[in-house]
Amino acid sequence: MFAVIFLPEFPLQAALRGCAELWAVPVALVDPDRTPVRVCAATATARAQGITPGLTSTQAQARCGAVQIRPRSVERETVAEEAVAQCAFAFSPTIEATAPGCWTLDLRALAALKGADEGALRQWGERLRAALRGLELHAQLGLGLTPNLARHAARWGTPGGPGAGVVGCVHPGVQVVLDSTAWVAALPVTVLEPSPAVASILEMWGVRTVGELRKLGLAAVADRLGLEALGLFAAAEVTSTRPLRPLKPVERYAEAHEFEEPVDTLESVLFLLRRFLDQLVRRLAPTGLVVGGMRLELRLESGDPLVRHLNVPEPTRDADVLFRMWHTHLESVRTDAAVTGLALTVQPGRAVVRQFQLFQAGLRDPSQWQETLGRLEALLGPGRVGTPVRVSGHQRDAFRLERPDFDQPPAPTPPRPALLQPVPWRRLRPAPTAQVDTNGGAPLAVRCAVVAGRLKITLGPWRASGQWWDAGAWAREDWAVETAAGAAARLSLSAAGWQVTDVLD
Amino acid sequence: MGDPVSIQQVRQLLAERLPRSRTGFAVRAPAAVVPTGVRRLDLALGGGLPQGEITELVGAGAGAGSAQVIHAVLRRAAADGRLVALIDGADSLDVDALEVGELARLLWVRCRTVGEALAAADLLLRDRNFPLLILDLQLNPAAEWRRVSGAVWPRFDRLREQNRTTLLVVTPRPTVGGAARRVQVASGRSAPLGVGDAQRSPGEVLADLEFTVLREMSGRGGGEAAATSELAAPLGERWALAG
Repeated sequence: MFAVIFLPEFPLQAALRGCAELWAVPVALVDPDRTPVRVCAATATARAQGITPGLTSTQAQARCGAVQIRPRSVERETVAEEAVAQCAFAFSPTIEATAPGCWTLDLRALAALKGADEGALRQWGERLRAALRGLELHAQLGLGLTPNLARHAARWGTPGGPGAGVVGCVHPGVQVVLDSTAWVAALPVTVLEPSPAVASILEMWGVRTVGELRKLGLAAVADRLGLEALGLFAAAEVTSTRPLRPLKPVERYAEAHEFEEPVDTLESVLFLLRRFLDQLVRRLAPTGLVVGGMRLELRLESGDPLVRHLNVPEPTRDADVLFRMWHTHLESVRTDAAVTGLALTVQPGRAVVRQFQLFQAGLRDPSQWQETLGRLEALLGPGRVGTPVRVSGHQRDAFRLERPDFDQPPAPTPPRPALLQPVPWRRLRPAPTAQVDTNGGAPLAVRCAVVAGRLKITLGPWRASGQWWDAGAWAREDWAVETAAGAAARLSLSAAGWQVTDVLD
Repeated sequence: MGDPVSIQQVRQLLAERLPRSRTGFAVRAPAAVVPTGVRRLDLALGGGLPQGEITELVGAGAGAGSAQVIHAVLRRAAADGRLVALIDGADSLDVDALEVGELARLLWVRCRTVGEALAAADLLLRDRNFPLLILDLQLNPAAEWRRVSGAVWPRFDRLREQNRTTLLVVTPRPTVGGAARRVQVASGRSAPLGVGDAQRSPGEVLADLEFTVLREMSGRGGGEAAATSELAAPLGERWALAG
């Protein structure tokens, strides 16, 4: 058994994905790569106004003044193709991208569908359609014993009946064909897509269905119609199978959008982001993967894109949590120019399973923490929040701030002997400059905003230097001092002059 | 036959032995505390910082020893595997005085003003991920304090009550209205800590610090009426009275 997913008007579906309201208004899709620009697809409302593929955009606007002209987007079609392939892969391990907007699934290896009756097959197909609807793609499904039969079933549906379209078929959404001979015989011959000349000949002959054509025999028809007859009979052949060209879906989860007009408000960006996140978590759901990181590219009118990365500390598929992270982060982002488009890519990952040490406590709510961290960074600026890590060397107060990772136990390091444990001081950052009276290099009195007065105790100097081999060379002379009033401080003499670097508290 | 025992006594006994049984007698469980790593401070507070409450540590002037206490609390929290956030109002943490393992469990929020520190504390109290927060405002100048709204502390009190976060606020003068405990720290002699103290070990310096309980609020969170007592007796006198 094979299944075929067919997306009618695929370029139009890809272009209008996420804008469901546009299906109700006249919209014409034009191919910007062709000159002159011509309509390649149109919504039913636009078609009702006489807008058909092949018209130029000017002609389309002449027929309907309210028509919205949208450019065909290869990027959006690629994203839609990836989304369909990822969704289909969750239903069958063997899928083939047969044609644009058409995918074939091999169901022969699916134990659940072995010996399944029509009802079960239809139910399976409806599940697949529902999954695709979640991706805002409206598909027709066909199930048949061969790929070609399934393709016909997906494309044409049921021959005749009430509401049959121009071709003479109506599609129920999921078409299951078990009696292939009778079903194919009843199909209008037009489904074989003969050329207009051959179609008129067949009509003159009174051949209206595929069954009537096949009764004439391949040799007799080929004698009269030539090579095209071979193509028609090959298209009507539904009993032979063929190996599929297996497609491995790319593990790329991305959504992109270009605005009609540049936007300069956060709300528009957030609105789209929310929709993207909903889409992406739906795409991830069948795979069992979660979002481990995100990359947002804001395309700006000035040309240079603004790119932001966010790590998700507790990988999740909760769109609310992911959205809150972006909301918090973007509140502090300012761009030089208006935003013309955005692209969001998520890095899939496995859900984290943690095993803490017996007495180690982790974060209660890592997602909330990520949001708080974003707010703190927005409040204080970069380099003000994190876990301090000492930088090796002899420079005092040399550290860097790292993004906290409380889930990892700290690397075991031997503690300093008690005798070497220093008494903590209070660092003054930035260290205020001071006026210092000296005698033979030793400070006698100090005047600055933090500490002032004659010094009664002076210990030092302790000299240190480093990095003399590069541009970051430093050298200083430290003194521990105590004023007559009892205030203890550390003075440092360097190229910047005297500074009070610490006070004891 | 032994002494007659009243039903009330039996219920009281049951309540003590089986605290979860419905005897109609409530037995007050020992209050949960967060040890500070400073023996004399723990004694003054009845075992440590009251869990889920605000404790104010008032550093009586420069060189009172508040930084020594903060570092001791950080060290003790790391030893207990507890996450701790230090909201550093004047960006004055001495990173060199802490071990690598102690820094690994620390979130350091480097603020420049009281306003930034209070906003950061508000965010972290709402976050609920850190069971222990230290808000160090000891070095912030008085001019900044004047701009602080009086509504801040009641808001913090509500947040810590919702999230059971233990908050230690270090201030230069009594400030925090909703603090369950207010303790003053001072060097154990008439003068502040001097350069001589810097040559000693941190443990020796801590052992000399004096703590005076200025305020004690009892009956928090138990549905009972809160009782506040402003105490001013030095620690030594209080323990002598208790003995």
